[in-house]
Amino acid sequence: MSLSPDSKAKFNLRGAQILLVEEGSMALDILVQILVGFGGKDMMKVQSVAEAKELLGKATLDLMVVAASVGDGAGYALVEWIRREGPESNRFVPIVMLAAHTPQTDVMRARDSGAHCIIAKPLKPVVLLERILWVAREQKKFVSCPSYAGPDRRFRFDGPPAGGPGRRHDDINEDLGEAIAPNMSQDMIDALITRKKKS
Amino acid sequence: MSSVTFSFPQHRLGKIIRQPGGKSVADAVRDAAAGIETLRPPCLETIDEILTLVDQRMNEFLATADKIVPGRRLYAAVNSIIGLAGAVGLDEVDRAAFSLCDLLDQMARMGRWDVAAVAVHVQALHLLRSPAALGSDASVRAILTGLKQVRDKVLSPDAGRVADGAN
Repeated sequence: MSLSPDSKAKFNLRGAQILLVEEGSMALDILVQILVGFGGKDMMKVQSVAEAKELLGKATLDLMVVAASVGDGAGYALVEWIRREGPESNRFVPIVMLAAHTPQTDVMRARDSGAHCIIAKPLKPVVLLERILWVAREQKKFVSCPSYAGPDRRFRFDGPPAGGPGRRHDDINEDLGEAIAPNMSQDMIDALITRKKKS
Repeated sequence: MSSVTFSFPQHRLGKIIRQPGGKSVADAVRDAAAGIETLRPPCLETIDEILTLVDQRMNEFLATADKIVPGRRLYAAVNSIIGLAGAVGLDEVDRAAFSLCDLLDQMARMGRWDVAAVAVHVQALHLLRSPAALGSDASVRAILTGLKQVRDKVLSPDAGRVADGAN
């Protein structure tokens, strides 16, 4: 992901319903200015988890930007709640999280919160835009299991980790065994792909 | 055996951003930066208010024997600077605040507090708030380098051994 700030590529956020959850009115104002700059029109802004939950029950959102620090670090809990217990209409809403310093104890929690991505502060407009466009274009499948609910965090499937058996039902066992027939010759392969007259 | 379910939701955002109209990335980034710039004066005021709060919490931190709770309160105040300072070009304040948050977090985890290291970070936040008064970029760099050295020293395993030996 690398978006040039000079790119002429166009996008349209005008019709998107956006919820901004940030602690502190100044931090929220900065976020609003950035989203307005992006062309966002339909924005709701709140400074607490309780207000965010109330709005989530009333509106179907297209994008959420949530600060991890809101409510003394309850931003992660809010996202976990949305993914597991939130209103059905917003269960899969694209969520971009913003984090200042993340305490060591919250690093795993941040990873497992269920947000589409986490951006470190200070927030640079081009970085936020890059992530929003990425989230919009990537229709990630969602995973739900006892330890995690949220978008699939894998970017590319390279098979199970080396040396391990794999845990997915469709993982191919590393040990494929010996071939049971000789390899095809080049002539046989060519014969398979050469055009033939229809008889 | 745990159950895993996969869903394939199609969110509307992907369709919305492809609607006709809108603006170019270049215009959007420029307009966003211009919007932030309009907030510069109140943002600087907010940073100064937070620095005053940091001083208050630093005093609580110094005055209390058990550092856990005042350390957490100080951490919260310093953490709220990160992002605000960077938004108005005070990146060095952001970096010093991040360094102090890291220091407080690690010290809380280790159960070992170095008050002098915290105090020097708080002083640095005030100095870096007005970089013009420092005179040169070299002075700013020297402060940040000094903070890194302080943090590395306090958090090194050797520091733990010295402290344990002293106790």
